[in-house]
Amino acid sequence: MAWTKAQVLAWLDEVEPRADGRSHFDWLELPPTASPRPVQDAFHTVARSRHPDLFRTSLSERDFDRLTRMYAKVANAYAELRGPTGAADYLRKRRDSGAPVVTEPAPPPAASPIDPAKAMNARALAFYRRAEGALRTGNRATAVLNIKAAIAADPASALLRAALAELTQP
Amino acid sequence: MSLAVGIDLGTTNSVVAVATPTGVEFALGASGERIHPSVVSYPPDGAVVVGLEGRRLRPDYPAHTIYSAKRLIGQNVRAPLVQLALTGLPFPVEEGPNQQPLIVVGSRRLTVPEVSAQVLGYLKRCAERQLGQQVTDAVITVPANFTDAQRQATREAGRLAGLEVMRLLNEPTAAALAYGFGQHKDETVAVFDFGGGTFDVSLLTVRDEVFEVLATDGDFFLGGDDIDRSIAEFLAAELNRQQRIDPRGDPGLMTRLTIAAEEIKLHLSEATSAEGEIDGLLYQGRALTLPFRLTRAQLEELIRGYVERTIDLTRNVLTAANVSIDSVTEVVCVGGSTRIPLVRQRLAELFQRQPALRINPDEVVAQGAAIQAGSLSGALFHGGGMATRDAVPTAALSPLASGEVPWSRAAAAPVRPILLDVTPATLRISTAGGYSEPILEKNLPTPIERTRVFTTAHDSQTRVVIECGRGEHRKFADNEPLGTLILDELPPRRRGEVRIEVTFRVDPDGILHVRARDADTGIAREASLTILGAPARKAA
Repeated sequence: MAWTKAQVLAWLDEVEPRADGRSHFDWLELPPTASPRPVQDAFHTVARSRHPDLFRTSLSERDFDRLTRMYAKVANAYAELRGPTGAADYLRKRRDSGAPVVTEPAPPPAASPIDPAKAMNARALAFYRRAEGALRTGNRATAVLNIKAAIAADPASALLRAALAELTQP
Repeated sequence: MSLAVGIDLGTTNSVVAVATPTGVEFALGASGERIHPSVVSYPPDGAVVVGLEGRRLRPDYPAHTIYSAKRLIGQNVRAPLVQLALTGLPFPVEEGPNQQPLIVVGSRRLTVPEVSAQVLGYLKRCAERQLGQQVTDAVITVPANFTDAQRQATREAGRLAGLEVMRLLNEPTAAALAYGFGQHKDETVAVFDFGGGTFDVSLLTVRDEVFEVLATDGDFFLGGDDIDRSIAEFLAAELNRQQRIDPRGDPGLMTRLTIAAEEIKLHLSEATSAEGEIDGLLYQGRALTLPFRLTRAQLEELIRGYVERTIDLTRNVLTAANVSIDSVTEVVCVGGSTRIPLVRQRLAELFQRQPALRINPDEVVAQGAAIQAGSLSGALFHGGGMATRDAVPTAALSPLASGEVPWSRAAAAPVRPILLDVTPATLRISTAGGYSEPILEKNLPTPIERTRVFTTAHDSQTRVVIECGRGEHRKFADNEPLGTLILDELPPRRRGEVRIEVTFRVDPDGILHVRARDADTGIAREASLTILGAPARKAA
């Protein structure tokens, strides 16, 4: 059954300040032993009582946004815990990291998605790789020289011009 | 008071409906039609003619009559599939700013949302005339697999038509809502939505008022238009064979053949062969007549590839949802292309059961949208149920307009549906070496928010470029680009020591918002992703 406006506001005041520290089980109001069917039931219970669609006309725009964001965290908890191994996987991850899991381990680093091999010709690529090597050893001046040589070999490559701009900015 | 309507903005046809105390009522056109062609004609006299009347002008003004605009909405005009679709259109399309398609009509350049806004405005007027009240708010349905750009552009069309778009609702979910709302079901339902331009398939559990999408898949470039084009190409080859005339470079001839193709397709859903003559073909000032004969079996050979693709996607959805075929309790057919006997036959073979017959495939989506519009605007009444009832042809006879049924007649406390929809594709960011990492996978419940932590590739890196994409490929370049977020002026630190929190949030309309934050300094950027093909996005 849908909650009243007052119940929703009280829930938001309770969960919002500690949102980052809450586990997926907390969000779904479950004990950490739940099997798949209760996980779905728990999500449906939250949805029936607090789905933002139920409060579109009754809450202020600000409170509606708060509710949507907190509900989105419940949805994420459900997405992580559902399925035959969801809860077990989550518990293992949490045990391994020794702390409440609020984020996942860092995957490979963010960087430019452009594949250099496709963004320039082969001769330029050889210079580009040398520039990368120079950067890894911290030799910025050599890197700049090699990028300039690569540009001479392939003046049309936008990636090379961007790389030069990034390297020569103060 | 003003009304909230549900609109099924289709590739070929559109439907508008409203949830009333006595059931869902469809708004009719001037000739009493429930189904309004999504056609906008701009004849040279400067008029704008929409719907059935607009479609009647198509043979006379092929270059001025825009149809199937939904195939172009929010698309990047350079995409290969779009280029393919453009070859069959009788009206010219140019590349506009941000690679969006611009439709050329005489001396005017129209964006696709401008054309779709004409259809929406027409539907709004139909509803207002019939119901005797102003229509201000709407739920508009979109294919489940529509991208961000397509959703943004559809919203823009609604805004241009003077509508407050309360929600973009996925079409199969709307159909499931119409099928199950108020019926106290406990079922697993497959919705197979094969329309004029798009194909969607969704698997849902329906438990009382909770409609949970388990998985969805589809192809936003697969529909009746492709079948029509196959038949038109067959007719073009016949013309070439019989009379040594290649009509493919002639928009007027191809329009005639495409219109004939659609009629032949509809006929072959009832009969096993179609035979006759196509007249009124004008070629270099000469009138031609093309005799033809096509059997259903021949048609099935022409379209088998398309139909098998829908069946393959349906199998994928069952696998993704981890649902076995025998636990599916109902198959709901949506869209005109599900009337094709080969489609019904293949579906029945796959599911070992006949699809639900009491569903009207042309109206069920608008019906669901009307229920959701009533729910979101707080005007949904739960009494006699939300079954459709026959609409009345004139405003004077509508029980709403005449005051016979007062809006305040709320028989019982309203029970409102809870729709739990999903992300139609994986949303990811680029990482080192041209690869990518998913942030939100396909088929996760929406609205949803998730944060992952990334780090830098180089020492002293003061700038991180976060490229966002949509798709299922590990190589970033193989996915559809969504836009770029740049986090700069970071203090120089060793690589790996920087913690960049990337938060993806998908809102209830299925639109992505991205935020990146340096966990140590608190420097943050909210994305306004520039999506190629979409109209410029306003600050959210």
